[in-house]
Amino acid sequence: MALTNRAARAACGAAAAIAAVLGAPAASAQTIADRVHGASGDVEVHFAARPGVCGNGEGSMTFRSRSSAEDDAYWSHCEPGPVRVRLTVSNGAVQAIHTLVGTRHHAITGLTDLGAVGDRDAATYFLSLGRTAQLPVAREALEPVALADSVTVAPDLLSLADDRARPVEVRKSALFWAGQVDESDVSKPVGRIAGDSSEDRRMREQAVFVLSQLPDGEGVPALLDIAKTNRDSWLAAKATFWLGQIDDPRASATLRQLVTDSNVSSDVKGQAVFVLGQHDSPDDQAFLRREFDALGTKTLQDKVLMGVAQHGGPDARTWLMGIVADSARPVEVRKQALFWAGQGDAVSTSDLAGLYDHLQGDAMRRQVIFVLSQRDDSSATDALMHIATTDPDHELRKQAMFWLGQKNDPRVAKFLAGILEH
Amino acid sequence: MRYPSIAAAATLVAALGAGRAGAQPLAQRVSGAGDGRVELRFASRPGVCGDGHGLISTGDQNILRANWSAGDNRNWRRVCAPGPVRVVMSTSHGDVERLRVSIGGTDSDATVHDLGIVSAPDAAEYLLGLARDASNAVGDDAVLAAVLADSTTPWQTLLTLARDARSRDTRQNAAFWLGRAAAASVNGTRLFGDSDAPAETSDEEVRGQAIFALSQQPHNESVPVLIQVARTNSDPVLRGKALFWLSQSGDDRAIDLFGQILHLQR
Repeated sequence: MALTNRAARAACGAAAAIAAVLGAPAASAQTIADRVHGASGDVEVHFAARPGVCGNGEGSMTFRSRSSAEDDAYWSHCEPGPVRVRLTVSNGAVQAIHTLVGTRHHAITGLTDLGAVGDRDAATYFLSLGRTAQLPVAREALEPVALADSVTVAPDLLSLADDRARPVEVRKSALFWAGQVDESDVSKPVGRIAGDSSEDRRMREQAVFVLSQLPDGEGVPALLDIAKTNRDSWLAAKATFWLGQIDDPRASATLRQLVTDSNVSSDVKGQAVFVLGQHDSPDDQAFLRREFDALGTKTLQDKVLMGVAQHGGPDARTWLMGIVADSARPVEVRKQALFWAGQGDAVSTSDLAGLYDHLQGDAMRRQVIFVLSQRDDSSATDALMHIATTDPDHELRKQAMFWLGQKNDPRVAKFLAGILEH
Repeated sequence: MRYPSIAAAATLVAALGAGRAGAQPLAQRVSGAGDGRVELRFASRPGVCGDGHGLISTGDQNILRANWSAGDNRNWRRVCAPGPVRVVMSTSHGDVERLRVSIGGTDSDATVHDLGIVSAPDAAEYLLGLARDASNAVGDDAVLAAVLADSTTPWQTLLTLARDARSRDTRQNAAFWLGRAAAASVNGTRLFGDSDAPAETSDEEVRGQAIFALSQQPHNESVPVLIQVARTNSDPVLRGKALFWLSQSGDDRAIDLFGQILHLQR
């Protein structure tokens, strides 16, 4: 299991202290600001990256503590530093910032290397740009702040995120990086921004997102609270969505509660149904199937049908086909069940062809024809040609022909020519 | 050059072998009117009617050439009246930038330079010459106006336009009208005015759908079959449908077929 940034930082604390005693090799009488101010064109500074950071040297970067086991292949090619910040300078002012991590990179003609700088100096300098520069420089300046080694930046980033005098894009960036650096539990200040109805809506959305990204489920309690109690249903729906992306038993339990609670807004309930439908959990799938009839609205039921169909499997097939065949249900619900069943592997083409012969009513048969038309296998074309030839209802034959015309199958032209020869 | 020049149109009319004495003078009269709006009127084919504005009926088909709200549709039949084809062209620096076609109507104001009634064949020749190098909208409407002209046989020139006109819209519209003329020819019907065709049988509906479906297939597979249906099928409804979808195909073999049916020179 990967170390969190906090643990890694503790382990490296002694080494950092020694380095501080020895004095940073890049220490210079000139500040970074002075050196940048005196430059022109593209310049680069580099400094040590905090533990857990790695990059491929060409713009791709991650915090190792946040990578999953599937990322191991990527991680093996990932270097733990240094942080290299390229600045485009004109008339003493920074016009653009691009941050890289690692040593592998393409040489840039005309790039002036200003050399190594101290981690703390770098964080201080780039934070000052974040506080004072215009967009997009101010926004981009906060990434190197978050990557710098041996500094604590979350409080400063949160302070900047709170500064309503700064552009929202800068504040959003500050909030994001405050959540990424993993220095301390920031769920309370981030949750406060999310819950502040006087805040800019974009900041509140960002705060909800940042909560969902905090390590070890630190943001889950705040997200649960927002999803269940916030009066702004749009924010509660956002929180619900992000809860659905977190693998946490507290999240799943709350999502189910939101589905069954009659006092929950349709926005939130719809989002809860949607995200549960995206879960691979058999329990969540079974829950949605059980709740289907109680949901009441077509919109919510459509989300269940979609989720169950996408999940697939024998249970999904049986349940979906049961709804399709249930003539006591509204035709629109049955059609929708058929549509979603046809989109995945839950129902075979031969099942659909057999269904056509047994279904009563034009509406359902038309839907079978449409679903067949959306399938790429040749047996779907066979089924459509069979309908176009044999159905006693000429309107259904016409519909089958229409969809045959849209098929990319060389047999279709010959089939249609044959019809015209008779 | 974005727009066809009136002078060029005059030259093209001559090049197309117009031969009619009135054609070139009409181009000159339009050119001589200077920049602004120029109107001319000429006799329309029997069976054509319109509302004086953007709606034109050819009997079995209504053509929309202006904004039209759904609510107006209730009054459509009531206001469709026979009348001359009225063409209003907007010209600038010698180029026709817009061309509007209507049947009848008297809404032109004092700012329009009215050339009055002109010979329908002269007008058709002028308009087809204009269409050859016209931008999309001008060429499309010029072809329509020429087809609506009474006592004209525009098919030979339309055959040329269907192959060589500058804009795709003009080529498509020329092919469309060639297909209509070919259908009228093989079925022995009139081009315009047959609005009371008998309802299709169920079998015709199904086979007609097969023709449409076939038209959606790759041309190398569909066009030969559609040509076969157009040439040999015993049902005029199906022949007409095959010719219609051939006219939409943009395929050279379809244009060749129209030329053969209408006995035109390649």
